[in-house]
Amino acid sequence: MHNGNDRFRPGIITFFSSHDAVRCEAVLKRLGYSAKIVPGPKDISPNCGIAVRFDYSLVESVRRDLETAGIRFEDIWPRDVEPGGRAGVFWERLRRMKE
Amino acid sequence: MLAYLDEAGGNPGRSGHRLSIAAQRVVSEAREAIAKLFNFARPERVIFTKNITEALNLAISGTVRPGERVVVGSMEHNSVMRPLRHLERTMGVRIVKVPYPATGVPDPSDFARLITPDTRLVVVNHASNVNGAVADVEAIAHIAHRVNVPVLVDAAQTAGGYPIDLASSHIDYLAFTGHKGLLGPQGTGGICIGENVDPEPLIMGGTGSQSEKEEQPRFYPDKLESGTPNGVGIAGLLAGAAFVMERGVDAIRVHELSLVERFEQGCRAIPGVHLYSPGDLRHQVGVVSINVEGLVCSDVSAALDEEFSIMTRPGLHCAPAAHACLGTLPSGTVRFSFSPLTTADDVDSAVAAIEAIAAASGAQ
Repeated sequence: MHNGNDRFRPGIITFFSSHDAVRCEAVLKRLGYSAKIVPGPKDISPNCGIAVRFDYSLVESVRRDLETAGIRFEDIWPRDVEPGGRAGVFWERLRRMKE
Repeated sequence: MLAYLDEAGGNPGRSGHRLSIAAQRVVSEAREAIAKLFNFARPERVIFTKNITEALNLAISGTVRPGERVVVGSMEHNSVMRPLRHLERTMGVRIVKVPYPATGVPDPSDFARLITPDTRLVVVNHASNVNGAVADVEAIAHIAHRVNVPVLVDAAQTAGGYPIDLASSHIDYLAFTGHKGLLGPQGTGGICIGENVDPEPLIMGGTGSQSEKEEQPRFYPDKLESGTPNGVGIAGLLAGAAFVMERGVDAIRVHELSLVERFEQGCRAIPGVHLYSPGDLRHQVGVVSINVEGLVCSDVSAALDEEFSIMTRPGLHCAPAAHACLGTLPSGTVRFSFSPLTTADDVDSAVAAIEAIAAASGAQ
């Protein structure tokens, strides 16, 4: 979304329980990944109310590390991977308007 | 709550030492305050639970037996639907849903058609946690009373912000939460149990009374309240209820409705914003749901928080039944809530933020 890094390709990890989301964020941060809890995007999963946003370019190692750490998650999704994707444009415009 | 921790904090009703007695006083005062707020003549039948979900479970599980019939509204929270679906699956309980219009405001005569003498319980949400739509629970209870069917009202969104008078209505169970309109802390809630009903307990154990017996006491509140209560939370609930009574429920309602009106007027002027309100302020409490065209509700909520420090809840609000009624399943909505402490300036800031978000959505 908008971490200020043009090369950041957002991905979203969804969960069945918010307990797992909080654990996931802690594990990813401890392993040096950029990870942030965000509202669960309702267009991709009706499950838990919160999800974890991360750099999708690292999806394979993130998946491996979560499995190794025993973190239960529903799925991992690319989010606005294409430059100029709909939500990406929204966040860019909103930030520009606020500046 | 700090005073409770400093000056009380003993286990209420368990001992005769000063800290235990001080704690018991707080719990008893809270029972009296809740009874007064709802004009309920039997404070000993105000039962404290850890939240309204437990209170609703108590009334449902303590009343409904295998194969019995339950009539339920269409705007219910999962704290009602999940216990009922569980009883349906495990005990063959029959669930009859009363159809509602898309506003979320039911016509009580639709209840009249479906409440039969063999119905064991009627469960109805007083006001929706999704769009604030209010049901005329007094009229529904009156209908049910004619055929001696008890009524359970889920007052999660109305307790403290909408007048409730148990003395003049036929409501048998009034379940409330502490952490919304009663301005108390999370982890508090309860239920007023009318004199004509006597549910089985959900949890049994130590009560500090009849300790020589292994059987649960039959008298209230001990019958339905076992184990150490959340004394410090109940102290907070007492303070919240006292604030509400000092300001007055009617005055709070006028204040909240003025904010809802201001907010809805602001939203209606923004192209691409959809409101899901009942359309009549008389049938609404301080809860409003919206969507912004071209955006998913979770992105709108994230933008409100991250860019404008306005906190909302997106999604389905644990109430898929209500969203099905409003036509917002599965996409959900963004929900705004207004309280006695919300100001007109807060509302104007929210409207301005929604305007910026709608402009940035690119849908226009």
